[in-house]
Amino acid sequence: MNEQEYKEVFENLKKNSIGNNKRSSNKRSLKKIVLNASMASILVTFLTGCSIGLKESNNNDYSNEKITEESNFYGYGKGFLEQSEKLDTSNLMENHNLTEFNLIDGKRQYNYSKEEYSKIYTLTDSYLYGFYLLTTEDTFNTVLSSRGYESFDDFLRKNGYINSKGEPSREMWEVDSLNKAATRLNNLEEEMGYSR
Amino acid sequence: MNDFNTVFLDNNLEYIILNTIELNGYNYLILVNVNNYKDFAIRREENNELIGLNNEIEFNNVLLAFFQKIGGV
Repeated sequence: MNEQEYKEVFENLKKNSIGNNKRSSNKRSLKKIVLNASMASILVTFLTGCSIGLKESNNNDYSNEKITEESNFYGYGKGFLEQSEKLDTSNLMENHNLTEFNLIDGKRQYNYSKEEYSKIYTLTDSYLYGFYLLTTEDTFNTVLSSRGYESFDDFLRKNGYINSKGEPSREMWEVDSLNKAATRLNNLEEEMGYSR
Repeated sequence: MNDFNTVFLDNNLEYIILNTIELNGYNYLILVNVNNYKDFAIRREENNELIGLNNEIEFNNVLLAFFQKIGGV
């Protein structure tokens, strides 16, 4: 989706949401539904539309200034990809009812044990970048240990993120993670039939 | 195939409840149209009814709360 399409998503949301003459029953139905897109990609559409729309209409700071900058990753901005990774990780925790956290300097401090993370069978190394962005260093280290790593450097070394001096490179991992996130989103958008 | 809670809004279209947010003593629902994943809406729960938001300020506050909930921003 391009920026104009996201703006349209936002304007439609606003039109659909404001107006206290809009009234309907709160009766809910539990239904089995086949989604033609992943829940994460739907939420990313919502999140990005809101980010772009709010920024334009209110000039507010929602920490998404980078969405239209640094669009080096298959056309996605770094800030957008980081939000998407945080969202995926947040959803992973929520889907396993691990929802208790404190915010410390804007990052989530989850107080779950290494063993509890180990039980999340869908928690693969691909989520580590999301944890790195979303959570505190303590939480990130606990998640790393649940994946069998002794430390962040141990993770970087074992996965080949080594610079020319033979030192573990956080930067190499970050660029690789952003590229992988962009590839995943690109594939999702293609599946959803969005043209970019 | 997954189980989803859905509601019908005043436009007679069915929406999936994507997320809920508590703010200022109210529950708000973030909704997406079952048949159009670009069609979203927000409603406030009140006395067994789903009601549109009062104004742009309430709208912006709900979105900000949602951002804080999901992204730690």
